Amino acid sequence: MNWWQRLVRPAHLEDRLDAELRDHFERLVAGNLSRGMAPDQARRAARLEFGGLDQVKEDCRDVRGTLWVEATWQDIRFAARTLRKSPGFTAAAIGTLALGIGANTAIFSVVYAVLLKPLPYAAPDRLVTMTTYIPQVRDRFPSLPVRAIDFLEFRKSNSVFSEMAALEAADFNLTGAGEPERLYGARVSASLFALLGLQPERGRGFLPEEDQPGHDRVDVISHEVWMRRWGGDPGVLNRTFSLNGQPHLVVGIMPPGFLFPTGKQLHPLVVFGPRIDVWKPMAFTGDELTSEGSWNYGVIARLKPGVAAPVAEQQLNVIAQSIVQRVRKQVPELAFDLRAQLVPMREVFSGNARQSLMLLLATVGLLLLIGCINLANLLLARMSSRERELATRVALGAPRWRLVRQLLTESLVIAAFGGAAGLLVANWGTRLLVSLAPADLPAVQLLHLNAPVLLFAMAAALITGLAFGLAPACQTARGDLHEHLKESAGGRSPGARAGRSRRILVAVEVALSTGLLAVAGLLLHSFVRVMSVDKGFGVERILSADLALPGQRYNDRQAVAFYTQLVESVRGLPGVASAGAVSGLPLLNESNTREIYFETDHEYHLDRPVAIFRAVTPGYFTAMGITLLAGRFLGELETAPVAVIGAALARRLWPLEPVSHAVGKRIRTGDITSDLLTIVGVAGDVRTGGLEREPMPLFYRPYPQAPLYRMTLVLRTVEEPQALAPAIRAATWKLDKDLPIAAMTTMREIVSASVAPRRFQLVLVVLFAALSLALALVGIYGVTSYAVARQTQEIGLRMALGAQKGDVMRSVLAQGLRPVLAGLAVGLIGARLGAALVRSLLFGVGPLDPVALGSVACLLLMAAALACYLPARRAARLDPVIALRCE
Amino acid sequence: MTSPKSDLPQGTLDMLILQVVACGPIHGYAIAQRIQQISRDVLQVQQGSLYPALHRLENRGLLAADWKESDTGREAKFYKLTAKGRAQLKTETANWARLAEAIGLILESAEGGAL
Repeated sequence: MNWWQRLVRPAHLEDRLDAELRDHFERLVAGNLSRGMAPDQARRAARLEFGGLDQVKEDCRDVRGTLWVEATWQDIRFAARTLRKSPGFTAAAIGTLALGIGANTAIFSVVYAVLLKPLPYAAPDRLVTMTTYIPQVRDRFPSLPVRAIDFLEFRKSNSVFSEMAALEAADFNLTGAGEPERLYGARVSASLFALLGLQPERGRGFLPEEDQPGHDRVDVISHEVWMRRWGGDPGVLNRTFSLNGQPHLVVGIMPPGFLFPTGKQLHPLVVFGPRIDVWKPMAFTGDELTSEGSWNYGVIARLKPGVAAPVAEQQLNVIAQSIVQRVRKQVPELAFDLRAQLVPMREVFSGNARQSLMLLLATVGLLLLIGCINLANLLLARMSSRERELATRVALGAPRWRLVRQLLTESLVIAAFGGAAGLLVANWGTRLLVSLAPADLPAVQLLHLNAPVLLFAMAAALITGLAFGLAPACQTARGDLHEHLKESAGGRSPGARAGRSRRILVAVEVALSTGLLAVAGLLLHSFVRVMSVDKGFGVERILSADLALPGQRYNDRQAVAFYTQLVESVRGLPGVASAGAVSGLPLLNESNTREIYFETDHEYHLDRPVAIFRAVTPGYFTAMGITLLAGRFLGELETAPVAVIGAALARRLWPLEPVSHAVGKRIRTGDITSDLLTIVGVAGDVRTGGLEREPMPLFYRPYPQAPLYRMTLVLRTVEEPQALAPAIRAATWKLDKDLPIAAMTTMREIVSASVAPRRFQLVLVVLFAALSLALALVGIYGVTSYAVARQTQEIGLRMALGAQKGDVMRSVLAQGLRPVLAGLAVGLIGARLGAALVRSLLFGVGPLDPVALGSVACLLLMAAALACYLPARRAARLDPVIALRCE
Repeated sequence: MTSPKSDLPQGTLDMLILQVVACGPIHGYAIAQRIQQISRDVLQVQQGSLYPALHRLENRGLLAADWKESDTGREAKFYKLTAKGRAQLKTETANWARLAEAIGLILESAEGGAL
């Protein structure tokens, strides 16, 4: 009989053993009969001779060998049977684990997708992004994109990269085929797709010759836009569309889910759209290739095999030196230096999520740990009711290791069920995470539970099973089981040691929970601080619409006329309180900057402030709710070149004077040869790059004096702003029917999106901390109730001797709260360390923030007191007569 | 039951069983009987050690078992020697003979020596 048969047909085996022994017995009886005994006597003699039948059977079973699969299977079945007998315990245990393992698996699947999973490119480990920096201004610009002319120099002279590509955002108005649409796009070096190791699923990539101006009107489109706009029509290939008023040929369609940087992922100063619909060849123009060209281009490169990033950086810096030498020859007064730096491509997509995700992983890991402690606690409590069963089994000769193994098997069975249920929770949890996740996490990829995630869940289940099963198993192994038989016989309060270890476990639980709550409290307080910073602009009832006039159809004069008319007609709409236009909204970007020079500057200075440039129509300030600190806002008709500056710029330029003194002073922007601008007013600062970042210096110019084609319409409404969207579209298309409107967002949405990563992290940490508190309370309640149950007689005695209800209650509360206080103290010390680790995630609160830590301690104490109060009340209501009689 | 009985030295029960089974398929009761008879009632095998030993030998592949109809009309479990069992019996018998000889030598010399 092989092990499989033995496993699945143990009953058959037993029957056979039984038959064999019975046969022997019958033969003994027959022998006795033949020797002339009476039938009764014959049977009795045989039975005597045979000895203990069950003992023989047990020995035979032992001899048969405890085939481990068989024994394990037995253990598992026995464990399942035992667990079925206590459904309440089982449900609580499996539920706790499902929550813990599920939450861990869900978070891990995010961590895996964002930080661990290889990027979907060929040999992604050798992909890097290259940026430059100027040591003299590194404090203000830790990294800069690359200039076109420098990019070409780096590409030509290096021997460390097998390929280099430059990237830049380029958005398009698609017209002539249905409703005009704004497409988000990118200009990329023709070699980019080959560099990444990915080719279009249909058609082709770019040819080297298409990287030249004049040959670059070819496009590769994304699979997604192909499906959305053209319904997957293969006829789109090799067709011509009008982009920005120029004919473009579609030559390729990328595969679905092609990963490409969006937003500020590649570089804070190279801002792509929220998705990429279209790629076109870079084809640097002559203008872009001058040495005055801008620091505009992101660079992706592939390291040659065997070349380490630091080695590559060294060579690039040598090239950078030669670039600097050349610039010095042309502009000797521009004393600057240039360095190159490389960052692994992965960081483009994980960005600053790493720390936040690690925090979440740690948090959720602690939650699971607390869950395990709770389970260990539950098991210990269960053990004390099973002490007699176990002691009896030991007395009957069960080897101790067999019992330990049995108990561990029980834990593992619970863990296995918990793990399975946890996968369900994880599946649901990942979906929740995706819906909560901020837009800059590549969340779409998370949805499937893949092999590493499954492995993680299984490992988590196994480890937790061992972890929480160890405490009761150890207790069994330590071997005080015989004591239990004696103890219960003597009527003494047994299990004192178990009670102590349970109180220690509760203290540990409280300590861990305190740590989590403290971190959650600090983050919550930080969030409140972030949301209450002085934004410098209004949030409620403000609607914005992005517009981009195509340069092919508009000149400066026409653009001014268009926006003036548009603002005019929108202002006249019912429900609009005020309207204006601006070249860039607060919070969204800090690009388009200019150096600011004093009137007296006659040569370039690297230490002059850099300020964000915004072209505005006069209504903008009112519509956006920006305050005026001194002077006046811009008027409808400004004849002289003027500017309004933000307070931060005034403070940077004239740190010793009050900001109001800036009015009337004159500055130049961008260049020492540019026109002098008279400052007519000082405006309050607005948060330019996010609520958590200090406002950058900023200046506003009247739109007619500095027209730009991309503007954002801003209007303050009387009612719910989104209701006005159709009217604004109509007003726009009345002026230009081919003008797409990319996004209409309210300022409230923009503010909300800007704090999305923080909110995501906060919601999860608070959720996990709350769960950990709930688990700790269950633990406190359990231990206290158990203690009351054990001490029923003692309490009854004390009451019979005259103790008041209050005394009993106080003593139970004191007993229950003692481990809580110990845990709280340890937890607060631990929180101090934890807070130091998350310090960089805090905003406006110190790691020892008394508000957060104080409220956490109060919350925990109150909740713990409540958890102890219930059993204490039960104790106080005991009838001494019944209590004394109770065994 | 008149003659004194001896406990079996450790490990010899297996050898005796193998020896008895070597004569042909035989069930547990008969094995016990045969050992008792051959040893003229000196060796009595308790069921408590016989069956665990049989199962152990079967488990180690030294014995094979078959359920066959027996003289009583009931099915009984008949054991027989496997090839492996036969080899084992041979080595154990040889070992035993060597051991008995050695012990005999020691006992003789002790008797003959000057104490």
